[in-house]
Amino acid sequence: MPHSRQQYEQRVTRLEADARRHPSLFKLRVAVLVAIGLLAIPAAVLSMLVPLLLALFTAFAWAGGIIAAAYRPVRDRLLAALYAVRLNIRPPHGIELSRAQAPRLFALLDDLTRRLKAPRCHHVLLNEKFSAGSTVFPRFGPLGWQQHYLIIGLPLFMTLSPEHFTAVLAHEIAHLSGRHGHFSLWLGRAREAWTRFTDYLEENEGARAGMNRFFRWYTPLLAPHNFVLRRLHEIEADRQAADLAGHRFMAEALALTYIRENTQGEAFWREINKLKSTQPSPPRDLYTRLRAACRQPAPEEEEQEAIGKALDNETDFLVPHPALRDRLQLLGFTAWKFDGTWRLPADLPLPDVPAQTAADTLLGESLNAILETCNQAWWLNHLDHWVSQHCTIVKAQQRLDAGSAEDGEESAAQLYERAKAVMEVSGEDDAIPLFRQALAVNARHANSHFMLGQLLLKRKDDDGIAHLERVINLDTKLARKACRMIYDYLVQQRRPAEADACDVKDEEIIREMRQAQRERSWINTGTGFRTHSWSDQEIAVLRRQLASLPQVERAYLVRQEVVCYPEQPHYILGVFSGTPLKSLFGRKARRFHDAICERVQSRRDFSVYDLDEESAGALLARWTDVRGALVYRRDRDGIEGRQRHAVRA
Amino acid sequence: MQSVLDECRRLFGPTPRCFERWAARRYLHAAPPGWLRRQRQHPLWESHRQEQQLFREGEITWGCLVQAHQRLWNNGKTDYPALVIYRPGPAFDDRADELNLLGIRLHEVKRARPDDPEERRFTEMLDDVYSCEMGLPVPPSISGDTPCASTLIMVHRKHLPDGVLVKQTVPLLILPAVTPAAIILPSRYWPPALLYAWGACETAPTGYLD
Repeated sequence: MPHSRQQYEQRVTRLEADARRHPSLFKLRVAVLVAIGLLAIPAAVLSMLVPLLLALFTAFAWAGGIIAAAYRPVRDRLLAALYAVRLNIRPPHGIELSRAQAPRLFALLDDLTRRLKAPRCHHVLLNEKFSAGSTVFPRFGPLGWQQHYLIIGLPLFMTLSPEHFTAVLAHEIAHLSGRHGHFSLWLGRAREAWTRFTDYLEENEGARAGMNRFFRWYTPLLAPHNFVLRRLHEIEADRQAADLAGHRFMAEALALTYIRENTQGEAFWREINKLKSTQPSPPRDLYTRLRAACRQPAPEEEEQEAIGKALDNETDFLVPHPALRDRLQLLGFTAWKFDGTWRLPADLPLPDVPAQTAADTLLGESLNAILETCNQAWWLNHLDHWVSQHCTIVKAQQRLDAGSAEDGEESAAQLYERAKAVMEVSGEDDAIPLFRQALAVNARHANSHFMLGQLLLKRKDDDGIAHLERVINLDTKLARKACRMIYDYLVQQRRPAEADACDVKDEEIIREMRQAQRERSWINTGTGFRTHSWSDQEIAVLRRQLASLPQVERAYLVRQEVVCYPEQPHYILGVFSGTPLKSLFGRKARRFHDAICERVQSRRDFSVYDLDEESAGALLARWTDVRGALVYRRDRDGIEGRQRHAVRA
Repeated sequence: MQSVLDECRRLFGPTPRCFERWAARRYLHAAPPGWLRRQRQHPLWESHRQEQQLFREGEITWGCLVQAHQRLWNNGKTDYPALVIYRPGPAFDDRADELNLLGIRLHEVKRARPDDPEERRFTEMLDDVYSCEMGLPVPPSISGDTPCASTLIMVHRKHLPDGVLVKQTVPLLILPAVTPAAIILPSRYWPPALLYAWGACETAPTGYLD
């Protein structure tokens, strides 16, 4: 059911006011709401199961009718409930730090947990982000035994001074102290369970009978409550961390985190990406380089620009963290605007690059060994992508040298690949003309529209919307992403009416995608078929694959005529078994079908229909009429068939 | 990345390796999947026959997957085959990137439909992973001066972190003097850097607080 952005925002604003007035009451309200949702799942099952069981145990003549009517909804609700409660979370990922490796860091953590009365951190992980985080993970799933994780981004660790880093850690430990992670995890799990339950029932209309009203009331309530609660947690954690580390250090740490990521981070990655054109493999000392880069102060102008940008952002309804300006305001520092640009408060100048960073102080001699491990991890993580990008760039360069690009011989796909490579190496500005060039060659190239639209919106250019709207019409796989991008842009631009229209469009896309999926998932006598457009090489591969399955007698390949997204072809591979497929519970047919699906691989979108002479019926006659539909015959293309032909030849 | 392989070797132990019976039975040993059980003549049976010996005496080297069953890149339960290229010997420990480049070159040659019969035979294998052969050397016209071997392997999901293929570069157990079969080193014996590289694409879990 559509729940507009405006309604959502209004609800969040109202709830935020409530939460600020009575935080404890608000938390209780959320807990009750989640409990209702969780209880609704077994209640939905029992409400149908009980009459069914009663009917089973009564001897009335109409009992059979009740059983028949209630069986399917009960089964669907039961399956939906089982599907919903399935736990699907993984522990966070990172390189684990041990107490022996970083005794000073662990001593600091011990001190912070003691002072904030927080539970112990069971795991400290390092990752490659410019941020820090904390989370809990239930080791025994629903039975609990929560493990607390602290995740530290190494770039952040190597940028901040020990005092500022302590403030960041205090913020994370405050989350653990307030058991925010536990509550968030519980809430997150409940939300996930509820979403899965409703998604499952959505597909089985009958099973939703009697619950529609509850769905309409409950579903739109969950997301805003969750959002407001998380924001409340962030504000609480900021306050506690400031009380412990000092308001000034907390404010400086926040400003540094927002600003240095933009100044040092972006410049550093720009330089690294440039290497893709010259180096066939990624640098092996990335973190060592990053450490050196973190010690370099950013140019004054760049820093002022980053400050202005960071302070210009407003608290929105997408990210639970308030915007930097509001966070500083809550800590008692008011940013001010001069000449149209936001400035940090006069009493809060941005600190210089520290002589000793937190990583130097807290990791000590272990830092080099840790950097080496991180260097290896980064190299291995980026190897595949880097090598492939390097080859694309080299190939594009060769084409340019050979003069084929100037002659207009490059296809849209080739130009797109080149543009992507250029974007990584030289930056987005140089890539935009290439994406336009690709669209000049083929105006229906969805990927180029997508990339160009994205880049233009980043530059606050409304033309990007038109490109992304083309994507919505051209590519099912990218349609929703494109719609989301337009929506986020419009929200940023404070154009609520257009954003709402985009939201409605998103709903429409979901409906269309479901329809397209349904259309492609079954065929009947009314379905139209056309000649497939697979190349000879593809057919040869398909024949080889089918020949390895001795039970396949012959196979037909046709293109299904579809109404939804007709530019994305869907093919039907009808495979005839040499033996009848009828068996108890259809096991034989299922096994035959699985064997074909496992064996036949193609990049094309196709469905397999396994048939025998008895079940083929009218389909066979229609496929025979389609030119080139018979792609495989065992006596001709099978192993024995090929041998026989070879002997004759 | 010599030290990553060295770390793998240290964690897996020196040859001949001994494993606890429980670990060998429950973790190292992988039963052949249903589709393989129905094909008695499939070359991958060699890999199952030599499994214990590979674990006991196999040499660890880098391998690069050049073709793998599509389903291996998604969650699932069944094991499927993949074609891997590798260069035996410690001299190549630090040159995993060359294998990646060679993998890309193989696909380029395949797209160009080579005239050379040896190249054609090799690149045709890339169309269909089931029809790949075991222990076939990469044609020197493609691999260059340094010889490179290829082989069909069974990718056991339980030996991968999270049971899904994420990267092309894997530590491989080989025993060229005895068998053309190879096996991916089970992830329990991977060092943290490699595990991190394989899991870095993962999204944050529920309840993650920045």
